[in-house]
Amino acid sequence: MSLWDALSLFVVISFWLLSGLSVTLTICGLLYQYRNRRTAEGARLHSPPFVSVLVPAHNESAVVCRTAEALLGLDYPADRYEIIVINDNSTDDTAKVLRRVQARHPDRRMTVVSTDATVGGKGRSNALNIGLSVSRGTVLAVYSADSTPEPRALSALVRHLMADPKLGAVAGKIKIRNRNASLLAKFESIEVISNQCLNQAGCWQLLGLCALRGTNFAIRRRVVEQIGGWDLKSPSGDMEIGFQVARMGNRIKYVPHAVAWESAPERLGDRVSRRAGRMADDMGTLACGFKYVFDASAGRMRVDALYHILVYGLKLLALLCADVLILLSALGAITLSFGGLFALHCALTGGLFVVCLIAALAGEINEFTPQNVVLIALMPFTSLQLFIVAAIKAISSTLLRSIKKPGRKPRRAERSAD
Amino acid sequence: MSRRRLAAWLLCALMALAPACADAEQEASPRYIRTLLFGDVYPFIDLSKLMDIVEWMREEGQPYALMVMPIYDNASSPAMARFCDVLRYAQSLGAAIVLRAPLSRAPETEGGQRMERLALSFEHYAGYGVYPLALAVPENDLRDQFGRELLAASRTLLTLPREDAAPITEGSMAYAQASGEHQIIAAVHPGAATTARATALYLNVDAPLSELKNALDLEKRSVTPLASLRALSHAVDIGDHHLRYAPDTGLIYDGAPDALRYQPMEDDQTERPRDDTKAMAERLEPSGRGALFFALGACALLLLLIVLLRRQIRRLFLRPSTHKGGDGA
Repeated sequence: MSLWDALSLFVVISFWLLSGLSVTLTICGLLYQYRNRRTAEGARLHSPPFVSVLVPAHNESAVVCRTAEALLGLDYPADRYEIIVINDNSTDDTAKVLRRVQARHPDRRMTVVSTDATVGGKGRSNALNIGLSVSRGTVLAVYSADSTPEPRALSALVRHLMADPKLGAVAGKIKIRNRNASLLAKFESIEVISNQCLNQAGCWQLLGLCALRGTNFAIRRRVVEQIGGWDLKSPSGDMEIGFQVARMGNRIKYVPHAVAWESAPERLGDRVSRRAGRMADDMGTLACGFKYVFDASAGRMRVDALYHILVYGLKLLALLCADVLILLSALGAITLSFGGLFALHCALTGGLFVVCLIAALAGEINEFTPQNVVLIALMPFTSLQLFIVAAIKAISSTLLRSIKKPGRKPRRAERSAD
Repeated sequence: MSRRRLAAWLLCALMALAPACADAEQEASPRYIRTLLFGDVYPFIDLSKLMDIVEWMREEGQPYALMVMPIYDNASSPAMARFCDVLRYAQSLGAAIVLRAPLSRAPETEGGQRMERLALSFEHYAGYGVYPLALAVPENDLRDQFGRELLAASRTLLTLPREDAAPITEGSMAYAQASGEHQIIAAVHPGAATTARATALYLNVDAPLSELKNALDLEKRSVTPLASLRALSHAVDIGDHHLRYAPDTGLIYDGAPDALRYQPMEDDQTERPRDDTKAMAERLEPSGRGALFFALGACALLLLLIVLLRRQIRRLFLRPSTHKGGDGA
């Protein structure tokens, strides 16, 4: 058997493994969403805990006003939550914008912590730790400066968190605000919906796991303090927090009732950079968390780490190999002994991938449209290829960062006020 | 001599000369030879189908040739042994074996090693007692050095049907290059135009048997009867091997005669473990069906969930009378 034949077998086996996982998680995710809508949302909290809403903001003058207004409009009792915006070494008008918001709502608990280059400007984890140090809530909610939560988002998160003492954190749903603005944003919206259906709803239903995505989540203060705050080595620290929560024996639940809206990059370069940055963080965390896969004392974290390694590592390797094999075969440079079978299995798994994405959209309002179905059919050739580009960029930037400048911040996508 | 007697004498003389005149006319007119050629015969085709064709041709009593593909690797595989067993059987019943030369665009033949490859393949077949009496090659491939080497290697050459369906004529390049010793036979698709005197009707073994039977029925109605390649003399000198065949003396391979009798292969050849790539491909083939069923099952389940969720969304959010003010989750 030649090397190419062995690679083609590897691709087919990997694709089927990932497809089986996707189908199972999609089915579980859809069932969770179906059941979640049927059951009542639960009674209101009699004694709502005090919540500190942390908003790290670095040069976010274009969007932070909208986010602050949305947070001030939450239906959570106004005297039971505070908003802490960490103006993290911004060089734009973020501070001025936030002061205007404070002036409009003098009776509300809104604190703006402005940091300089000495204390701040060291990434999101550092900003969150600063916010943590000035907060006093027993529950911490985290929103990015670009996320605008729906009025009921926070109360839904806190209600679910307080209902189960085994829960360490709860994650809400994210939707793309500007999904109709461009084709790229549309693709991003579809990806976010399907990812949440698989990685959030599906994983929660099947494995009792859920990932934190950097915004729209609530976490118990004691959990964060036991962990020792956000990890400064990880610029975003979301996956790391998720691992640590799982390691402590706590769970993270997905709460689809808690919805927050955020913007998707509308330029290809921004999108690749944002995704690559997120992946670089996750890869760094996975590299650290890999040892826990073989550690029996790591508990639920083993499954969490294994799942993410499988999704990232296997998906990237299999896609990369498939692209190389298809390209070389098309150029006539190689001949595969299992060429027919390889094509059949690639087509079948690609078809299943498309059907899973379509099914994920079925659980959403105004998303199950013919246009989106057509876009999904194109996704094996667009989004999956972009995934490869972003992953390669993430790997190369991680390697470069480790060689040249440790702790360098990844480039952030430009924000627009829509 | 009376005039009547003279006329009678002239008539008798003319009648006596008539057969000789007829023979002379026959000598001057071209002799057309036509044979059947089953092409694309290789070890991994459906052997039962090939066997059906062999049996059918035996019942029909028609002469034919089988054009086998060149095999370079895994010649000791059980698939090859089984394949050659059928070929030996066909050969014993009068079929002629023709070996197709490697194509120029095949990647394994790059670097001017096509003759070596061809010799290797010839050796593999001969090792199984299957003796190609002639070589087959696309007409275009006769242009270059390889073509000249082929002409030097084999007395009988079959030119493969052209994809552009252009008629092959006696004036074409293959004929121009061949010496008077050579026998150039143009393989043509059914219905193709040709002015070549020696032609082989090219039939694909993958075609349904009914289609092959129709083609043979049409051919049997032709004024040119089907001839056997085994009725001609052939010579192949390739690599270190020499093959001579004549209808009266039979086959001599590397100086030793061979009766071309059929002897079934030994059982151990069929029982040999099959660990080659093709065997693995055969083993993997059923996985395609399993995968298809899994994909269909998964799609059906997902479709059911899509219907359920859409109905739920319509009931909860899209009917004004039952609107519950959901948050769109």
